[in-house]
Amino acid sequence: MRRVALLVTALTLVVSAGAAPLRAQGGTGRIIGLVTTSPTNQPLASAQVSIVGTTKGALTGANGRFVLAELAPGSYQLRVALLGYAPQTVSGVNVIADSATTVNFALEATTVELAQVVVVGYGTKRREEVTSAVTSVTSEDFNAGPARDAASLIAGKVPGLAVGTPSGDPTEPTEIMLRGVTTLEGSTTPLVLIDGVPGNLDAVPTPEIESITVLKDGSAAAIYGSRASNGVILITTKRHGSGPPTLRYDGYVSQQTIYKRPDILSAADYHRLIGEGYDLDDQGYETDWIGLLTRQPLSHRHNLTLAGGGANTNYTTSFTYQNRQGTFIRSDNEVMTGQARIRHTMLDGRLEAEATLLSRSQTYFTGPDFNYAFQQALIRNPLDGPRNPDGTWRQTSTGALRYVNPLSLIEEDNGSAENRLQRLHGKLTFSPIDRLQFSLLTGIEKDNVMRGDATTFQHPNNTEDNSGGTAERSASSTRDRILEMTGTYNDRIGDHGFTFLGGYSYQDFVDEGFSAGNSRYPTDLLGDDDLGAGTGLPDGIATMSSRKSTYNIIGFFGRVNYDWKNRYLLMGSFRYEANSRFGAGHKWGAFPGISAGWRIGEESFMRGVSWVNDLKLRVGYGVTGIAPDRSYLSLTGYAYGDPIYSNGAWVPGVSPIRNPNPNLRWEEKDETNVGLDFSLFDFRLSGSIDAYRRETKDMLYEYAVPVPPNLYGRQLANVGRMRNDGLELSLSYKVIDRPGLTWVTGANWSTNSNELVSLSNDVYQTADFFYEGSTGAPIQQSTHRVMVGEPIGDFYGFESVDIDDEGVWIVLNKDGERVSIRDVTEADRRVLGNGIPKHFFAWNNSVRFRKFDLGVNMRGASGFQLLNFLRLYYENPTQLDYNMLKSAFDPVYGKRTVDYDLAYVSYYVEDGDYIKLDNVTLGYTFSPPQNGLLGVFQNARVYVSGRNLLTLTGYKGLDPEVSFSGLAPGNDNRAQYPTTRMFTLGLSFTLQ
Amino acid sequence: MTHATRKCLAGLALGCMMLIAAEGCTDVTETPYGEVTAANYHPTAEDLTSLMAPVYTPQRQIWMGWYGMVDFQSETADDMITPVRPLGWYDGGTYIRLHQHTWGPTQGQPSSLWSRVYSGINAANRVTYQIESGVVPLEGEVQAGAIAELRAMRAYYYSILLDNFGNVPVVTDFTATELPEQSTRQQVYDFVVNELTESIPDLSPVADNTTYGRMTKWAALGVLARVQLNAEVYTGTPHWDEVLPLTQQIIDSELFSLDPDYLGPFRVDNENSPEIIFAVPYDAVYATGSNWHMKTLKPDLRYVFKLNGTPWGGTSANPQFIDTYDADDQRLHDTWLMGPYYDDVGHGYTFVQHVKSIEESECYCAGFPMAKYEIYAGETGSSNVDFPALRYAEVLMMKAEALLRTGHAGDAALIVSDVRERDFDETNPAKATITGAELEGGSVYNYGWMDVDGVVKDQPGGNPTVNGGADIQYGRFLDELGWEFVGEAQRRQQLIRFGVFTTKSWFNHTPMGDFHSIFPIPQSAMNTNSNLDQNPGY
Repeated sequence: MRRVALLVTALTLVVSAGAAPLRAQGGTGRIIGLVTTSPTNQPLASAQVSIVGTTKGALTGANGRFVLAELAPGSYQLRVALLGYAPQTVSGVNVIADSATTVNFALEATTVELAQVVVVGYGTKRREEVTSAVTSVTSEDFNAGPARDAASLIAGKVPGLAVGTPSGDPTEPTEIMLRGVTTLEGSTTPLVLIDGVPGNLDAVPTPEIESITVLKDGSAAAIYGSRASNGVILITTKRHGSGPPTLRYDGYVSQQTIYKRPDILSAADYHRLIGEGYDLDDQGYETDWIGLLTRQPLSHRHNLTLAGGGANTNYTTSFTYQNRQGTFIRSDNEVMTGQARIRHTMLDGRLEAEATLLSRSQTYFTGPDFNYAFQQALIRNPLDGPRNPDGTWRQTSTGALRYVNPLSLIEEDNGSAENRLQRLHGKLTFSPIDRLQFSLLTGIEKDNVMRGDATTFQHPNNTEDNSGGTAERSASSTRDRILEMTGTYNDRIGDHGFTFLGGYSYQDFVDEGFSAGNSRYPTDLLGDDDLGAGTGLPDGIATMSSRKSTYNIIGFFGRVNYDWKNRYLLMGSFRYEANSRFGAGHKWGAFPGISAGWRIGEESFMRGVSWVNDLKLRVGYGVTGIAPDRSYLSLTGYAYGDPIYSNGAWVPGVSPIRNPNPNLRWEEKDETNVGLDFSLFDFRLSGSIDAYRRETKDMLYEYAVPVPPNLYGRQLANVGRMRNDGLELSLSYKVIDRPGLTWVTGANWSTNSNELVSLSNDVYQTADFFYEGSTGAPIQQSTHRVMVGEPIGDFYGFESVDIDDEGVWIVLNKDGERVSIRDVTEADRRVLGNGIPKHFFAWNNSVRFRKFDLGVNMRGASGFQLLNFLRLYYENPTQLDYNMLKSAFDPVYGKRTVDYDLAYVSYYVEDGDYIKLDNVTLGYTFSPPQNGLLGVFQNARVYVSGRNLLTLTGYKGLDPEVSFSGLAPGNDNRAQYPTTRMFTLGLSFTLQ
Repeated sequence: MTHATRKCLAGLALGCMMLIAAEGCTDVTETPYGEVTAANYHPTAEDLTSLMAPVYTPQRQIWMGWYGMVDFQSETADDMITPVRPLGWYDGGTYIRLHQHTWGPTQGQPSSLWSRVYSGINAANRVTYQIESGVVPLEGEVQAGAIAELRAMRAYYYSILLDNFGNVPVVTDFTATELPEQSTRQQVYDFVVNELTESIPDLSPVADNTTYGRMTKWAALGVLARVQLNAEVYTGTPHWDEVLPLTQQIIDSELFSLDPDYLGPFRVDNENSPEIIFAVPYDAVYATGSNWHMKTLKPDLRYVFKLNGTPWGGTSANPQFIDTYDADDQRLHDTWLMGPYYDDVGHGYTFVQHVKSIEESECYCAGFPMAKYEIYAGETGSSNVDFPALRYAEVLMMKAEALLRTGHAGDAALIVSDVRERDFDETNPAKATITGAELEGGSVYNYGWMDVDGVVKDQPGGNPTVNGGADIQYGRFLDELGWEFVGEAQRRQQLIRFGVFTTKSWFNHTPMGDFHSIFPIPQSAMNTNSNLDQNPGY
């Protein structure tokens, strides 16, 4: 790395030195400038800038800049034109000898749908030039109101990208899945690039995001090679042009309520049942446990952005404060983010330097496992109370396992975490000649997490184990560094347009951490701030650990874009990439991508078809890779551990820690995509259709291997294959488009079908299925089966069809005969459904009436099942040691209640289909005050917003939006953090 | 700037990038942290103990771990059951299958045993290879002793496979990479006998703190005796005569003796018991995994015994087995919890002998928990009690059985009476003495189907079996083995040797075929090694 740094310095020097002669231009003058989109300030490439009445002209480069040189002094008229934008003309541009006159253009798009500039890998493209499946959403189309992270801004906006919020935990991120499950072992998170630098979806405060682009298919993602299999999400942050300083405020306050409370027996129900002769325990209290644990939390966020600058230098600084309370008492998430960016251009705009610093501090309560506390609140006796008269916790035992006072779990566990994130990156862009541009990007991201957790003497673990308090501290730190160099050249010779891109990328990663824990403290007062005070060390019950791992990724890449008359478009890209995590000799992988587009709408034969404004057919193919998420897997490693008793002492043993796989290599995904973009009826109706096939091969998985000769029964290897086929459709229609009133409605739909094609090859032979998921104790059964020839996500258990007179399940055996569940074997288990929605769909509406704006978003999923754990565990009236759902006393199959042990049967597997009224936002934008003190207020807007307002579903659980990721999707666990409904009041304005 | 200059400049910049690309950071070699790798690890004789550790540690899971031998060698037999409890223990039917002999190749307990045993064998092969190839430089007696210890440990592991699976692949070469070939049960038996016989002369004859928990000469002799005791089951040919000299060598060493207290070998401080020949040491901090007490104790008993953990309350006695005890036999009360037991606030906990069925039990209190291993205040989920993998009483009883089966019932009875002495010394010392004729008689076990009302009947359907135990040859000796060694992972082996395992009914179990006397080759092994044939019947 040091050598690279030196060379980078050298390159920078060469660039600066070489640029010096540019100043000397005797006798003539120059016009320089920048062409951007309005109002989003994205640079526009390939815009034609010409001097009216002459043949002189120039095309803008990838950075949107142009130079018209060697002009005689005088006054000129300048015109800029670009397809999809309204042309602009400026008169009276004065050119003075030996100096440069700056003229910037901000072009308004002529149609919203087609004229967008889309951020693609290492550059931008105009919407109509894109030949891959790429969806871009800009800030004006983001979901309004509070957002967990960047993904919730575009939930329901990108067909094929499923965004879920299965938990109400304020620290939990959204869950995302692009085009189905493509991998068993590898990560399923997409590659997220923030202004070209890898990061997380929650790194940048959402008000500062300008656009989010999702590269969906392989041809678009291939240039990112590794880690691109799950798609690439490109986040572009807002950049401000030159102008007087502005201060913008954007804030909201919101309140949440639990979307749905489980309908469990109340104290009154208990009294009634006791009267009916049920053996329920009356401790003389009446308690609403869920009520005790929860609240209606308030959250607020305030974002202040100061931006301004002169002709050559501009700056943007921002500060964001966010405090999100959770529904459960004590749960919270406080984030402070500061960001500063400075941009400077010099050498007549040929050199541009930009530096960005982001610092974020997040603190949150980590105390107990809230999911488990919720489960305990569900099952705790409503006739018991939280505290004894003396203030101690009541821990009445029913003799049953896993039965604790949930309030004591929360109140007696003091845990907190602070997460400090720092991102620093700099970018240098140099255009030695028109249309040629070099870029150097360097960045570093550091993420330090400090955690502490202490349980008091009164914590149930400690009162039961007589162990005194416990406390632990841990620190972990990751550091990613990136260095990227790219060169771009674009030109147009007659009808032939070209863009060439080449580059080199280096990234390295360090992950390290340590933790220590102690117990048996003399006092509760120290918490986790003085671990040494505990006396667990001599008893051998103090803990200590540390770790470190590293890896690096190196890539060379290139891309060629070609078009003929802007009508036939071709793109070819290639990335040659190495990841240190693979075996020697297998580290490098090649990832080609190719796509083509045919703008049928530009053909002469389409001229007469006036209702077609634009029509483009796209075909693409691309290869991407997935790397394992751990290092050193190809090496024979030994670790010290499990000790042996030797002569009265315990001596640490040393043993191999894995089956090394020296042949470990890339998991590859080949994807073919065919798409059609259209814009019809004077641009009123536009949309896209995409069909794809994704084939995963050399699939990484912990395959079963024989022991011996292997050391362990499992080995990470490249064996299996998986296939996903899907279809995506998005439509946008301007229902009303007239001054003062517009209504745009958009709908999208996607479907995916998944098949595990193989789990074996010549070397690795294994069973064609394995079980996944668990009901947990006490049923202790797997919930899913992953089987060759079947999709991921199949529920697998006994199929109940009836209940007998004694309250015992009647199930189907393997021959389809009705038998008592007493008489079944494992072989009688069947597929009971699938937890991954077959269809995702959304309907978004945006209405503007004078100064009002109204957004109504609906979102849904269908074609899937959920295993309702709440019913599975708490709809059985024989389990009197725990509280239960009221429905436990409803007759099963219309006959009688269950009188049998808890059992995983299909009665608890329900259809999950749902439609959600996800977001309704009503806003009002004030007219700018003309005079007086209020004149400084610009763009003031207030809005009210409701999230997760209504769910239409037949599902009996709390919320059908259950986690769809992993190999056991659709398990709606009994231990969960319930989802919420949220109401928000927001305000934004600009001071100028 | 001229056009040429610009081009030159552009070329230079491009060239610069190419240079970096070509010469600079194309290095993707891994630098491992937090682990030592084969490339940088150079062990010496000093490291021998650490290297040996993984050869021994799998035993901790094998015996008293989850799905361990202490559990399922009884759950498949007639002394203990794990019935479904009000809030659990159905566990996918796994315990019902063990009890009813309806297991298949995916049954968890034998599969776990297979992989745990082979991980020990693998470690033995690996360390043997490291020593023999000079990676670990050892010399002379030290090397011979280490190799003998590794061979004997490996043979001991194979003896477990021999007993449970019969036809298993015998792998001894760590460097072999091809899929192992399956051996017949006879071949595995021959291998085990040969390996133990050859390694015994080089094994340490010391039996003190320095060799506690290690494979000594005496441990190896005992393992070999146990294999020969079961030779008829393994090969069809009895080897009773081989048992006598092996056990005699241990007796003649005078290093071991019966503990005056039956529970001595099962206490927290059992490393001091004179009875233990080969132990698997456990420690609540360093060597965790012994969780039998969690599996058998009722959750509430934590308040009685002041445990630092809530037990799970699963396994308990088969009521029929309890009925076989002499009421004066102190082992009845030493082994089983009956109650009442009281906690500090006066709550009483009493257990009932009756259990409704394997599929249903009224409460955690149904069936007596097996608490022979000391339960102590402050005990966590991991017990400190070492597992006596071979104790002197077993050596004596092996000798007695060999005598009994070779026509020396009188001599056998003397030994058995010696072993029984401590069990009746405080109740009725006269009852300790037993005669040769008694040992040659049948069992007092009332075999047969036990209905939900607790009455032993003819089982519904199925092959009729003879109820009661009078017809079992040497059945009384089998009873003695049951009372003495219950909870020591031996019951299945005993029942097979005495011809009961696949012929008698007990509780909700009826015979399901002789082939159940070995387990199927685990499906996980079948799936990954195409050289393996499934055991007959499965």
